[in-house]
Amino acid sequence: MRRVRPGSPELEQWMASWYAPAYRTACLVLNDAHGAEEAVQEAFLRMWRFRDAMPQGESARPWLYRVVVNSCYSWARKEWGGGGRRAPQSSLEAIREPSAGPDEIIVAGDRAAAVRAALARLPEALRVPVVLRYYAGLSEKEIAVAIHRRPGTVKSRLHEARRLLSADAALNNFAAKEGTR
Amino acid sequence: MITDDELEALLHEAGGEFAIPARGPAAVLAAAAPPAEKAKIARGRFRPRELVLAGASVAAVVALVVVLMTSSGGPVAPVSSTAAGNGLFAEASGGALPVKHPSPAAAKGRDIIATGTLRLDVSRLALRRDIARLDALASAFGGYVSAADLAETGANPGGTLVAKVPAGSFSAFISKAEAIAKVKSLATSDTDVTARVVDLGAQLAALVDERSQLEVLLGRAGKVSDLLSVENTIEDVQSQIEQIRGEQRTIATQVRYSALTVDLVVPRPPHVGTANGFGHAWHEAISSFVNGVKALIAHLGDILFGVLSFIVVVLIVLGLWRSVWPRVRRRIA
Repeated sequence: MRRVRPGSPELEQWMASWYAPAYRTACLVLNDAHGAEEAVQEAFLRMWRFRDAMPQGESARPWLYRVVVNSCYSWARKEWGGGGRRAPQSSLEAIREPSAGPDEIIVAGDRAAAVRAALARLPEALRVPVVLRYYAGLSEKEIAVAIHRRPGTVKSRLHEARRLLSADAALNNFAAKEGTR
Repeated sequence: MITDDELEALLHEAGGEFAIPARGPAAVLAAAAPPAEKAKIARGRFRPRELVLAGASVAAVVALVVVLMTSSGGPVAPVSSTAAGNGLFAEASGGALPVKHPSPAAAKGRDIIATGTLRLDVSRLALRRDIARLDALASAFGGYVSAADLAETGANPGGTLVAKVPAGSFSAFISKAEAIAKVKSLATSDTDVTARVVDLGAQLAALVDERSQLEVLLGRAGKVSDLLSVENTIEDVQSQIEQIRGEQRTIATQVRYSALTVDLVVPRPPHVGTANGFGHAWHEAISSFVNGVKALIAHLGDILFGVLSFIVVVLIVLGLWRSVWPRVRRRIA
């Protein structure tokens, strides 16, 4: 088996392709920048160790997110104790990417903060499918593979999550504005 | 109700706000580096004293191994070695399993049957795929799978596979098989059957010779009873010859093809006990009772010895008292 080298082109290629989406997915799942960084690092190391088992083609993406989600679960269990908990309302302001003017940043920041808060209020079992569906862009079938549940379960969880998010007044307000823009 | 498109837009905006940590990918690459390279990165220079010590240790181990190998020249069997819990981790961290199969050159001129048992931890979903990969691996090495068993459902999901590969490729095959999943344990065993092969050859030659002599006798037999008797003996000898030839063929196959039994085990989730419940209290009570009985039995010998000693002392004192007390009383009187 090949040894891992810091300059391995394969690993660097993975980093280039997957690090950003994996890290942002973990951020949305955990609502904790430090935890997301640790979880994604662990996920990539796991993937690298078991790269021979990595499926090829279309199956690779749900497999990757599965490893990331599992790393997030592990990190959450280690740091916060038992499962099923809601993510803490920690501040992620420090890591926001300054990509627009001050006014836009304030509005976008409010909206992003509302989204993060709404996600954090969701139970873990609902938050993960929502992030995988609407941020990572996985299909219901792929999410089922990623979280090791049946597609029917994923569908019902997404429906329940949408219902809870719709009941969130702040988020609904932003969603309405987003729709009218 | 919030629509899919709205939700997607909001999550993308929220997700896109997170700046990628500049040190993130570098940290992963650094963590993936083997320990030697990590140490090199961390220290930036070598320490001669450590290098000398490491070199001396390696030389001592090599010398010890050479001495052991030269001192065990006879037909010692079986030779086994075991490693547990290394596998991919050892490989990923730059180490290697301490199990090394003897090279074909080392076993040249001797008949060695090499076998091994590899225990791999796999997920339930990967069971079928891993068995297929092991099958393909055995074929790639010019071997075959002689038995396979798979249970994907039930209380104890898992699988077992017996792969037979040419003896010269056994070590390489094990290395590749280890890479398929997390190695729980590995045990290899070499049995030197050279003496048995020589013995079988000698027995066969003697039996063939005996059969020839019997065939000569058969030609000379005059009476029918003698004829039948010689024929029966020839049949017995022929049967023994066939038996020995069969054993020779089996040994030859075992020598030519080494067998690796791969156990694919789906690890069970750790059992979470009731820390403060009635079950815990009940187990504590049972455990205390058993411990008490064990302690009583363990100390029974001491107690018996003490009681017997006390009785002996009392009897001696009583005897002395009875013999001495009358004299004392007479004197007092």
